Amino acid sequence: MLTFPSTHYALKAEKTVQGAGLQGRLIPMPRELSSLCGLALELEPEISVHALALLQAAGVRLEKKVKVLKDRGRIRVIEAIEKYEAGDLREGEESGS
Amino acid sequence: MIYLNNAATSWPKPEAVYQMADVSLRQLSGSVNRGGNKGALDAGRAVLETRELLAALFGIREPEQIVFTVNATAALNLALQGLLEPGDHVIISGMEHNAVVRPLYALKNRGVEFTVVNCAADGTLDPLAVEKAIQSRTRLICLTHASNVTGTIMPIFEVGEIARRHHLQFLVDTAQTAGEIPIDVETAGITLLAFTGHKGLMGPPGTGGLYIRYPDTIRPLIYGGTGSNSELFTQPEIMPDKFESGTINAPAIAALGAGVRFIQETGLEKIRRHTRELTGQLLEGLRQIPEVTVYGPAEPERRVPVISINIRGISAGEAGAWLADHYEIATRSGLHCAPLAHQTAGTLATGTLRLSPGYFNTPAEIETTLAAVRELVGVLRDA
Repeated sequence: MLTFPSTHYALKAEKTVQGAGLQGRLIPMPRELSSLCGLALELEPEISVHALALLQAAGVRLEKKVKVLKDRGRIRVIEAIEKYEAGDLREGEESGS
Repeated sequence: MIYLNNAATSWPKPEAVYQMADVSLRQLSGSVNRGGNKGALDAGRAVLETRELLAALFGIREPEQIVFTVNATAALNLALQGLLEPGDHVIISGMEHNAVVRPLYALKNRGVEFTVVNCAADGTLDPLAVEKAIQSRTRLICLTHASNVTGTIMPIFEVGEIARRHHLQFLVDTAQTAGEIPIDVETAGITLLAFTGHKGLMGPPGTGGLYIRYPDTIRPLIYGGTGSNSELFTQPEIMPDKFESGTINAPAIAALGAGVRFIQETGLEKIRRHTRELTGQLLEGLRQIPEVTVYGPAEPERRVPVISINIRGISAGEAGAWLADHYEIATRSGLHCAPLAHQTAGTLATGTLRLSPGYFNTPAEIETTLAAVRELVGVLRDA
């Protein structure tokens, strides 16, 4: 599951992944997972590497990637895989004048 | 009715805009960033779509650097009030709208100064005069892309180059040009671009926005809920949330997207060719009437489809009323919210009668309008 710093990126991530014919859907996110935008992109683990590459190319900012287990509809975090700092997936921006 | 007031708001809208407004209001049963139900997500997807369409239209690489506002005036206020600090100096042209002049005038109380670079009577701006006005404290050049009074297209590429050379921010007001003339923020060196949704972009009123190249340099004017980082009392820095507190007008923004898509599908060149032909026809016909004074550049290539006139022997207001009463021609008369531009054109005392065709007008409508003006002039001659 991927989380994002804003809804804009969550929606863009969904569009990017689905546009490439991959399965991925946005779901409301448990508060304990992240408070950033309330949405997470759910991906099957086997396509996550491909999906991440696509998102990187599309300039989507990520917050973190976590592995979760769904147990009778409840989401349980089993592994926090990676936490991204702003700019990890993008080139540093020039500063304004 | 012959609608010649597209500079105020475009009418009619493309059919797809009406349909999208209807469908959105009925079916986008949610608020963007507020909830993960289908309606909220669909509303979010529609807003994302419009943001991406606008980014493509303006050559903006990162769509999230476009923030939605309620109109171009709000966007210009965000740019000016959000950027400028006491001691800063701004350069504007003598053709600016009150949406720029009034905020700057108010900012004078907070120690912001501005210089007005004079234009020729037809609105022409000399870019070198802009460069000469640069001071050590100059932070921003702010320029309308085209005058809403004389229709004059301003030299944004030349001025943008000057701004780039002097490391200044460059704010362009595209109220009269977005959806009419191609704009590329990279080529023109634009760091802030204000647009409205309800004119050339053919969307509904209540939509507009600001492109912000350097979000770190702009303070928000409105703080509040963004549906993100909700445990924090501080405003998020992430774009576009930083500048989009409160519930966004998703149905109208979706309809604006339909307008931009219409422009994309029709082709900006085709739209421009058509409105330029109508402008040329109108200019040509008006110039043949000795009692009519036409303001602005003579060549239709140098203007957007905005034509200001005065008719000898009758005020602009009365002429507008006569055209409406006798031929149901919709125009606008008066000062057009731009006293600075009227001062430049020499029409501050009289105002002007403004005729502004749009993409949906026809040559036959222009011919009827010219015949109506000729008839009005005839009535005045006989009086």
